[in-house]
Amino acid sequence: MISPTGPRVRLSRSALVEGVSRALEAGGADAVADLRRDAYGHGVSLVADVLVESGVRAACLDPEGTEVASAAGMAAVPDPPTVDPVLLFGLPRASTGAVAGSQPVRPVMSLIGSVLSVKALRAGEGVSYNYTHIAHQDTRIALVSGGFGQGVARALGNQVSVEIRGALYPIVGRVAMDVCVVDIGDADVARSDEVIYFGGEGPAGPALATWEAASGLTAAELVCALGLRLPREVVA
Amino acid sequence: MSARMIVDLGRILSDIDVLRERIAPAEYMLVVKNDAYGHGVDRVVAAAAAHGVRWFGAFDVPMGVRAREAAGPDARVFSWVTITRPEIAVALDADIELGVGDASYLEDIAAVSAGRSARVHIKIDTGLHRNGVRPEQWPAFVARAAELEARGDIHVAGIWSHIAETSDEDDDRSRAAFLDAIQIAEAAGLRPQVRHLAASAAAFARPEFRFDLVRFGAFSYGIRSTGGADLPGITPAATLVAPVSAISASGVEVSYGYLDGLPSTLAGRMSVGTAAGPRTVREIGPASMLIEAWPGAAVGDEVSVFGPGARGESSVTTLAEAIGTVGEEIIVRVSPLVPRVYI
Repeated sequence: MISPTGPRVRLSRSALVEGVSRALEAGGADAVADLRRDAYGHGVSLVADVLVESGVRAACLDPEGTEVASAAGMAAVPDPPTVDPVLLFGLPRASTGAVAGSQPVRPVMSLIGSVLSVKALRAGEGVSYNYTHIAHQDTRIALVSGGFGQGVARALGNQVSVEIRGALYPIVGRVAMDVCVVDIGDADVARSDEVIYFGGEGPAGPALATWEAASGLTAAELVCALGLRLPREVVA
Repeated sequence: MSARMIVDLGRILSDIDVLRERIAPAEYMLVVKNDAYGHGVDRVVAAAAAHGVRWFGAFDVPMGVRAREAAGPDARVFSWVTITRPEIAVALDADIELGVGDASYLEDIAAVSAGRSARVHIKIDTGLHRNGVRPEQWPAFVARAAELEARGDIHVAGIWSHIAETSDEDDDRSRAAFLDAIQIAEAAGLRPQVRHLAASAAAFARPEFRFDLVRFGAFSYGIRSTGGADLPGITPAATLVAPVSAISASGVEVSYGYLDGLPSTLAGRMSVGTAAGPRTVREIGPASMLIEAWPGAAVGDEVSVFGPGARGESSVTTLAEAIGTVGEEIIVRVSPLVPRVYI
């Protein structure tokens, strides 16, 4: 059973196609993809399918993934992987820094949550455990599904923003195990609205780079943790 | 053999015994959100129910349904995330009691219930400002709840809140607000039998926070609070073991890495337990880590990444403290692909 209000990941097939060509330009012939841990949480079946369309037929696989990969025409090989997962999955590369003038790369994965409730927060009131955020003025807050139990790293509290109806709003206070609180001011936000944590075409598109910087974790482990736990939907 | 998480169910039960004794006569609730904090909800709930645990708390309905299936029809299962009407129907069919901290959600439950007296626990916001009805809206909310109860759509079985644990002083203020909310609800004609305010830490330490029921998550699994002392009689139930896959001049390689849920930020800041005691973790890669060698180390040996300390490994909370987080985050990050093995 999948909860319609719970968080989920959305995987873009077109972003993956772009990722494959980027990775192959960098890698060249005899490519071996890294599809361990269910393709870094993206799902072996989708990723193997797109790779095979581009002629990549060998991968480093966990035993659990070999059958699905083989059905897509992908063979498990003992060689080390040569396809860079950062390029393949459209992840930011914090260690090298951004190249001047380059467009941020669109990640294959987006993280989606939903607004559970909306209410007032008065000046001087604290939010979530240890009251690490105190409201400076009267405002409104939305409780949003997604917490560190699903892979929204706890270190992101007070550090990142989420997208609702096309605009960005900050997460305030500690990220809890299953929820976050977002300061929405006087914006028109309602229960069940979609929340985009990162990815997609809107302003949250490049937010994964901020997640890396705020948490110190690699983008690969951030997306893998989410993708292994949450329901996945594939879009064109 | 690949990495696996060994869960000692007997240890969870003995932790539960310590907690129940500590809070008696208040009742104990086992919180099983996020697959019982990664320990596996089906086995944990079945063992606890057979041990006499009567209350189970699941954040969402899918986990609540699994808890109901494992616990049997006599247990009480509580779920508190705000959900939509189709999911409310699923919850009511599974006899799950719903935590309600939003006026529009109360209306949705009443509409779906339509005369079935759905059991709800109404939630006052006592300062945490997450889920919960604000105090200035509480009188109207409880008046409406009384109407819906009289009509037979809902039954207000409980009243509850959640505290911030910022300081004892703040928690005392929250407790006072909770007592006010109970009075207002009773004046409106409601008779909630189950009052619950606190989770592990506050209820363990402070008797006046226990009321009728205490929601215990972390402590049930032997996870102490960040910055808190070890708890007498409470031991971690889970040990994460991983095999040595290679040995080289640079150290011992172990098959467990950041894609498996071990935060890469722990490299250089943690040790694992080995046959020769604790050994520093030098590097954490996607599917493996490199640790300091010991004499006689061999491929196939097993190390403990975290656990109760039998081989010198740290607890999840000690790992968490090294990177500024809580033990709960370390344990729930363990990949769902890592098998859970029960002893």
